[in-house]
Amino acid sequence: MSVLRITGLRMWLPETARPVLDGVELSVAEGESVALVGESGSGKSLTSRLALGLLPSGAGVEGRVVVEGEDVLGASPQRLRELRSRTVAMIFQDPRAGLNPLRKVGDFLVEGRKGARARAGELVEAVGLEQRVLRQYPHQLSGGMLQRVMIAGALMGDPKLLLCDEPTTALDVTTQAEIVSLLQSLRQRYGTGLLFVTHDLDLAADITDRVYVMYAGRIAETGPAATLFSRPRHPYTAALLAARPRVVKESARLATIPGQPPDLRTELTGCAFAARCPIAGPECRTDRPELIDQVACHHSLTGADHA
Amino acid sequence: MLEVLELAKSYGPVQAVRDVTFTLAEGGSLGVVGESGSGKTTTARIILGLERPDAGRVVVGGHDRSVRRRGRAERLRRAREVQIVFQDPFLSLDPRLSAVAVLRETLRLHFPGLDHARRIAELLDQVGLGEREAGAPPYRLSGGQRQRVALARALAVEPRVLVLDEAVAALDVCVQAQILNLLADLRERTGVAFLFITHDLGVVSQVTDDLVVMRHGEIVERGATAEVLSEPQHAYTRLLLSSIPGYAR
Amino acid sequence: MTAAVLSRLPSRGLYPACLVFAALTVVLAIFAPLLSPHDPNATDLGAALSGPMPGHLLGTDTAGRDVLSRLIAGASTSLLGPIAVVAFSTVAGVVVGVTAGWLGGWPDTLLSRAAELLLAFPALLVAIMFVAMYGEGVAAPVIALSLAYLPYVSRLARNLTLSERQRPYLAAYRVQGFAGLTICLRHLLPNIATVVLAQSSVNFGYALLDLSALSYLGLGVPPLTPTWGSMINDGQSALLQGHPLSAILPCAAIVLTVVAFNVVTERWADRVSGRPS
Repeated sequence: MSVLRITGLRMWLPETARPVLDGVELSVAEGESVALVGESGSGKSLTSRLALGLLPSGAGVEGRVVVEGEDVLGASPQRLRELRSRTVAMIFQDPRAGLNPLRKVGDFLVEGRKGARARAGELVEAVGLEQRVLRQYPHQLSGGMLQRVMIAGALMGDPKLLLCDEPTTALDVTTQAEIVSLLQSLRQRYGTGLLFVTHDLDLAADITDRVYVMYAGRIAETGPAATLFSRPRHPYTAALLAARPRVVKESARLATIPGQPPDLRTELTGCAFAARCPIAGPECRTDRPELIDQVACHHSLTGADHA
Repeated sequence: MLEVLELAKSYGPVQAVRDVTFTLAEGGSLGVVGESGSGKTTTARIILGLERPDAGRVVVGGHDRSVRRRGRAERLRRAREVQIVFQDPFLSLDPRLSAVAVLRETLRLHFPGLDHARRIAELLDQVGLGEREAGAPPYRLSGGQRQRVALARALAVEPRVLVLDEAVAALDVCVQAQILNLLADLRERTGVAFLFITHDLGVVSQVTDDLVVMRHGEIVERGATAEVLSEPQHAYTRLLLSSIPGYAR
Repeated sequence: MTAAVLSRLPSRGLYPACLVFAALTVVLAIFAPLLSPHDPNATDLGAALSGPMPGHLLGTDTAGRDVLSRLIAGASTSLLGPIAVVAFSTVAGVVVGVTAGWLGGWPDTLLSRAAELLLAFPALLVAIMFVAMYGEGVAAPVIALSLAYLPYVSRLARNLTLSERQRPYLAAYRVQGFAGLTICLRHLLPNIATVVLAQSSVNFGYALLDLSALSYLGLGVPPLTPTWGSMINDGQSALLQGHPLSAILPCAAIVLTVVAFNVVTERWADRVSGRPS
């Protein structure tokens, strides 16, 4: 049973020549952790927000976004509110932006929930904080502690699905490592499904079972993190992996992808990556590759070891 | 070339930087690694002359730049010693000005009376900006393109040291790789020395020869980059390394 | 406020309409003596309080003076004062505010405290005091209001400077060796201009209203000089006698002018800052 299943999702924004999301297929099973990886503008955040029924203004959508058996896209505002307070929760990159600086952490956690003091205390300890932060104000806490507070807040409604949109990007490396292991242990303890949105392939592989790689609003490749790393099959995944600077330096120059991601103002024929792809053939420019056997590529790589 | 000697700086009761000493060789590349609160940004701001140290000196090519001095000639001289590329590509450019306008202004200040059109074309070519990007206001450029403009602006002064304050941290992986390669090329071609202020050990490994690791305002470890990263001595350096996603792989 | 309300109206024709109206009032103000059909002070008691008629297109007031001529003549006194107030308070306020915000430290404390001191005096009272001290004439109330409006502009300019200073592009220019003054004039000012000019256009409205109120009270402008404020005052008795036109028209002139100038300056402010509106 999936807590989140997205099928045939397409989204248009005003004044663009192509859909910003184009045929996204994605699922998160109960208690599973899944990463959605892509660069800025790939549509990864838009996709995750749709699970809460959040659309940018003027957007047109087609397809299904099913959360716990219910299609979010057709849901009434009333149902969406219930969904957001119980079934799905979200944490963002900047924890400060989500907190009222004039209210104590404890008040933030129990807001709108009767008799939730005990639960708040329990969760605060579960995220590795002391009870006394409940009586503190946001400015008294560090960024890492605030992100823990946000996670506790997200778990207050005992959600089935936790959406994490770059939750560690604004944090220090050592704090990031702590938050990542915290999310792991909480997932096991509460059985929450996790959709982890990030630009960092390594981070995605550390935290999740399965990874979706997005490019220009489309899923380029999906699969278990380990397989994706050792044998990337889409040239874009391979290029992303090769572009990361490594702690143990491999060569004087990093491998780069020529050009830039396609502009939203131009229409796409064929594969979205064709213009930058080292192995593109003529059909790549005319025929759009479908996501078959976990990869959307006419010439998918095999057996190449890039890790 | 760049000597930083026993820098100290406090903000009220908080000691941001304590006894920080390091040198950067002519044409060299030094990484200053640390997390928030490590004092790396304060150190950079003192080197740039944006803050004055409570104690200690910053010397570039034998010239002490940490004392307060006024006058146009001194200002321009200090500008040619050290330049900066900041982290945030969205806030580090005047939102009204195109790359060409930015470069023209800098060249007029530092090299009046020369053929600026040719030098502008040269600089744009060096950082890999095309004609379309050169004339566009910043809000029409991508993050990577803006960082290239900021880089060209810094290089226009022909500085001896270029400080890169988390200059690639806000960029996508592929763009980051392009900029890092570009930086390696520029160092080779122009002989400018780099001071990388960063939290990212992967970046440090890619573009620096030496590094210092800072924590709570102090340097806890220093050495050749490859050695420090392969055989870290200090517990904090080891913690930093093990916190990197995918480090175990 | 006005701009917020108006932005909900169909906005396409608003700016051109306001531009035409504002331009018209300026032209009237400058060429008033040439354009008025009658001497604005010529009385014709026999024709007092007549409605619109061929000789007097907008009718006459209680003293039988031509309302249209007085509106046109009033435009110059009513507009020049506020323009002077806005020009002075904007320039001086920006100088004070940007200096305080850019330098920080004791210059900031000194300038900010001085501006707060000015803020403590109600604008109109200061103006009345100046008139009482220096006698009649446009200069005294204009100077008083300029001083009274200065702290509003300087406080805004200081805050904008402080927040703009956080942006690394200004630090980059300092590192590049540009003088503080150059950076302020070439980079800081254009980037805070939108908001400052928006505030100034609001101040224009207030200045027009304050100066009109002063002339309504019979202060500031020498007697017999037609202003929109004094016209409203003169129109009061006409209002009681059931002839409202001579009082309503100057009111309408004030309101429309304030709105038109606000809309126009707001659009110009957007252009100065180079941002797409």
